[in-house]
Amino acid sequence: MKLHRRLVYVLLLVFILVPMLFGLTFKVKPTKPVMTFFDSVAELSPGDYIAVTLSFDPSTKAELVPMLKALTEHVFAKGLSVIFLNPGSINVSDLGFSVISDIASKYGTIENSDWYYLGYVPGEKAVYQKLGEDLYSVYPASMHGVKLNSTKLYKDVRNMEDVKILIDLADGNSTVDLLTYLSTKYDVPMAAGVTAVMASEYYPYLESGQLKGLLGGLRGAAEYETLLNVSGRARRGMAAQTLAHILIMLLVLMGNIEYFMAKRKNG
Amino acid sequence: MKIGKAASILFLLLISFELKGASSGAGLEGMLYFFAFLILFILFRSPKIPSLKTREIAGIKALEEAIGRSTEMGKPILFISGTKPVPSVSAVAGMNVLGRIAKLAARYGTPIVSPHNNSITMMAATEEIKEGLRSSNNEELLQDCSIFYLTDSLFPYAAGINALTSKVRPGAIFYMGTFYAESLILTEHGQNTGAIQIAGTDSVAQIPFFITTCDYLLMGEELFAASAYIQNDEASLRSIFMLDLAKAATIAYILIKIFVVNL
Amino acid sequence: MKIMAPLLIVFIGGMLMAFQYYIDIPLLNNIYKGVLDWHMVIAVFALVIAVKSLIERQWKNFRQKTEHPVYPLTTLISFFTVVFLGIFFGLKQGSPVNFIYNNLLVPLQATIFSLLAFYISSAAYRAFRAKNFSSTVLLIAAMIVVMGRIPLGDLIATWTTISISGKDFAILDFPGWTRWILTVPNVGIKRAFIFGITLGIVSTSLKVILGIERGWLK
Repeated sequence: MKLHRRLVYVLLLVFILVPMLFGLTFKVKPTKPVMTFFDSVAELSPGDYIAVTLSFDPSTKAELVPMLKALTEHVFAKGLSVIFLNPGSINVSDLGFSVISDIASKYGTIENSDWYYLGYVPGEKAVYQKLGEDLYSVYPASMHGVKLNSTKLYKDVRNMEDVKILIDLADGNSTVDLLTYLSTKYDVPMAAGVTAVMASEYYPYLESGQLKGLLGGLRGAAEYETLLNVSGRARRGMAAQTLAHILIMLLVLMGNIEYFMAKRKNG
Repeated sequence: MKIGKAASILFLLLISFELKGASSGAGLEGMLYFFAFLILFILFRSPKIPSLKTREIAGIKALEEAIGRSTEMGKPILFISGTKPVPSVSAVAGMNVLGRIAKLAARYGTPIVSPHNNSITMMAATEEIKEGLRSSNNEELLQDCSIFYLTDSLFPYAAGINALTSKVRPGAIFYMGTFYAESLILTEHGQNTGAIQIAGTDSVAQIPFFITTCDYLLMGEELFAASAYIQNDEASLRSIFMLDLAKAATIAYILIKIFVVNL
Repeated sequence: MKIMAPLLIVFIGGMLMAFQYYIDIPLLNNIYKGVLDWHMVIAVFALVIAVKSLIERQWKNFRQKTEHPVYPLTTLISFFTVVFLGIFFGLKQGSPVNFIYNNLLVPLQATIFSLLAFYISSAAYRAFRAKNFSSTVLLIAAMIVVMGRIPLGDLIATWTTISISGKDFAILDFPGWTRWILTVPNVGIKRAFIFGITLGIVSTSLKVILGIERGWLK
């Protein structure tokens, strides 16, 4: 088994590296949770406000940054006003801001006018609740210290009830907390993008209509890129993921053959 | 019945105020639910109700076997408290299981190693272990135990535990509490070292990983039931029955609602 | 009194916090805000205890001349270096701490996260075996979901699509089967877990509020 395990790891590394080195790509077909996510953003009118919470650690950026990029491209292209904030994770502040500001410069959108980056405040669940009551008691200023009462946002949005949709990009439990303390309590429509290992946990909320859409892992991001008709990192990463999945299936097959052979040998 | 009446009056008084989330109906339903629970809990404290028997929980029964095996091998045991700190409910339930583990460890004279990702949880665990050792008259064992803070960050915490597992080679590893993506990283590594592993978690998404890699698992509410089962007093045992009763009531409520909605 | 006082504080505090979640009374809301502020203050003290524990343990490990004294020494040097740089150069973008975070800590954390892929492959190899009826069902479901989540599954569905009286029908519809597994059996089981866990949480919380569960008094 010891030799087997090492061999498994080496094989997996090869199966991931080869498609990346050769730039292989696969087409992905968008699934319903991603399409409903996409539609709930696409149906908004220019100038409508949406909020995006970045609730992940940079360690999971491989899955969540492609989602953030695709989503930001979509909202800026549509001319929506966006409130970005990360009350669930202090560590994502710089990473999130640099990704968003890069895309903002591409679309010519202006910080503190077309979009706002509010950053981190401690308190998590307490903050989620307060966002439903008064945004400015939690965030009097943007992450870079611009007083929000001097911005257009202050006139248009009092609390999260005034945004058309709240989107959480998360690697932990923040989506459930936001659903409990903010979305359900204050009637804020919500959608989420989560890591693949967490995705199956959110299907009950999707089926109940509490989540308007769901992006699950790199595949979710790749589907969103397909709907946007862009070829980003997620679509490129799908080749490696596909081959890794095929390897896992082969391994399971081998494991079963080995098991049945051993069973026959032992009578 | 007096308590029931008082609670009903209080409930009516409270709903006369404006309810948060009233437009979705979630406020009223939530309040009703909370009050129903509260009244049942108070009523079930009555000594008139006969004592209840609970089935054995395999994971709890296996604690002794795991600690015994560790002792035979001359190895310490490792207790990992999850990533949600005390006073989260899963961590509190985990601490009750730790109390039981400490008692058994004291009986066998097996030291406990317990790294934590929150200092409050670390303090709670220290007290729980001390209490366990004291009740088994083996307080000296605390000198050999190692209860400490590692880090708050998820993956550094996982890396630290894996390094520790490789170093101390525990005979048994216990995971009790809430876990996220680090669960498989921890348990698969623990499996590789050959330790007997028992987990208890309320993290639904991580249950498949624990099932695959652990010898025993307290799934979801079993962790909370186990916590009450370990305490083994009348009130705690009644709370398990209460939990089942509430579940039956929830099922009935769902069925009625389905019927009403589709009528 | 020594036991009654904390039990009473927990009972009153617990009930107030539960009511404030549902009811909009300014007094309760203000109490809640105050409690949240206190929570943050206590969290800072928790950090002090954490730092003390970390330094004490690493120093002890180093002094005891364990097998690898370089590890506790690395931890201590890293800790004090980052604290020193943070205090004197700040945490803004481009600061030394920011540089260390982005170029050292983030890649290291991502490495640990990526181990998950390797562990999933070895765990799948070991665990998915058709030992009995239940494990065979699990194995088949897992294989369908794996196929349905990769583009190859989409391709196979397209290749095996036939037209029956004007309606397209895929013989090997992995994405469709995956959707069914995820939205029907998966959701049903997850909901059962969610109900059970939520009830468990409510019951444990009430046990603490009503003083039945007193483990925290130790």
